[in-house]
Amino acid sequence: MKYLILCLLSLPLLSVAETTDIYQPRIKVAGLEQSENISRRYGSWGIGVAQQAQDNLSGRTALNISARWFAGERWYLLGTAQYAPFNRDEIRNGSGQVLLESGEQANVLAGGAGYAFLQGTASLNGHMSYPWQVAVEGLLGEQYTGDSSGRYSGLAFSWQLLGDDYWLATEWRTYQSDDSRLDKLNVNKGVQWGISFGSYF
Amino acid sequence: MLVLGNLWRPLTFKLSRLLYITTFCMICAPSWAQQEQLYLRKGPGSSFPVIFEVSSTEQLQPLYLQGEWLLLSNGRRQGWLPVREVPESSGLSRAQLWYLNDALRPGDWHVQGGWNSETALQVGISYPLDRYRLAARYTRSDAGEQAWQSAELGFEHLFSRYSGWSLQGFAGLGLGLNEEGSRRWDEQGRETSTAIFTLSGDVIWPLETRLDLRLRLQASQALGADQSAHTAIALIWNLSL
Repeated sequence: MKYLILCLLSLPLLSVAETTDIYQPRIKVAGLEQSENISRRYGSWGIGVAQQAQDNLSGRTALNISARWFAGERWYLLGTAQYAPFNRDEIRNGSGQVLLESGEQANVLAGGAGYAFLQGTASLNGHMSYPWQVAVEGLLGEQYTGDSSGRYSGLAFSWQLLGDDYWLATEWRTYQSDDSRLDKLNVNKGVQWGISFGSYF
Repeated sequence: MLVLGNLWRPLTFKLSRLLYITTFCMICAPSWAQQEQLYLRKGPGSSFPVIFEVSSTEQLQPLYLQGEWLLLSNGRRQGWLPVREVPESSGLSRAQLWYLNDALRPGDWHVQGGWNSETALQVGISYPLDRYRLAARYTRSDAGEQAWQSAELGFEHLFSRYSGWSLQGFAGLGLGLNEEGSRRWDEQGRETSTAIFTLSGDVIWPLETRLDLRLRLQASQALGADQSAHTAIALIWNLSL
């Protein structure tokens, strides 16, 4: 009984505590609720293979990875790394000096910009269609061939089929390196064509 | 009286029907007038074809934001719409609309890269400080045996803005490094370093909201070494992060 009386006596105190005039703001958190979240795409990445046709050397297959950062509706920044065998046989000059060792690798690190100058849709079965774009890409970087290196520059045309979650692209690229060792042997220029596949980030 | 009564009944019926229709139109017309058609496209760009249209009051679910384009779904189909055309009545919350508009705003940081007529690669970064931008630039040329590099810190200022282009200037101090074999700051081709003062002017053409192309005319004066001056023209891509 006495506990009941104590509880009844303490009730007004509790209600006073609730109606205090000290301002107690509700904490609000800026940003989106979990259910309101909107995913954002900044760019795309991908892997690919390419067939290279090098002046004065036999053709070879290259592997590459690439990333594109969307700078707007049509422009994007581009970074790529490529790994490829360069030559099979050793090349010597008239006096027997080795100019190109056998089995050298040509690895390229390059960056640049791309501009999608054509955009449209393509349908494979008449029911579903996919957006595509054709872009011109300029690349500048470094080609490391064996023990030497030189500035790498390239101009590419890329046809990109843009799925909701994945993309597929074919590319044709002409390139050259100003590596003086390769330049003297006239093996510093070529073209490549390839196919890439990737997703978005 | 009987004749009048027979005429009065259809007349009042027609009048009441007319009244109902007029009232209905007066209530509904404003909401019809507020409705617009939204044209959703197959891809995130104005060149992709329109694939379907919906009313601006239809409830839409945002899926992805890419650049200035938002992928929306009405539950049956999905298409891309420019963020600026997303209506307040589309079912997106105020927080989502605020987020989308904020995402369109170019950031304060600028990064840039390009190359110049001295076959040198230029990269830079800048950040706004009041009316000026604090800018750091790095240039490197390694063509053959003529390798040199320079780093500068200075201020950029936007002088004038026109409808399709604008003009910006830069003044900065930095350090130039002449590697062995290069005659840029030493006629004997010795390895040396010198303080440099650089002035440049940019003609800026906006390409996208976040990207612009700049034609840069620049002159740098060595304050030490052989005190030589060099001028160059550069093509620079500048991106707002």
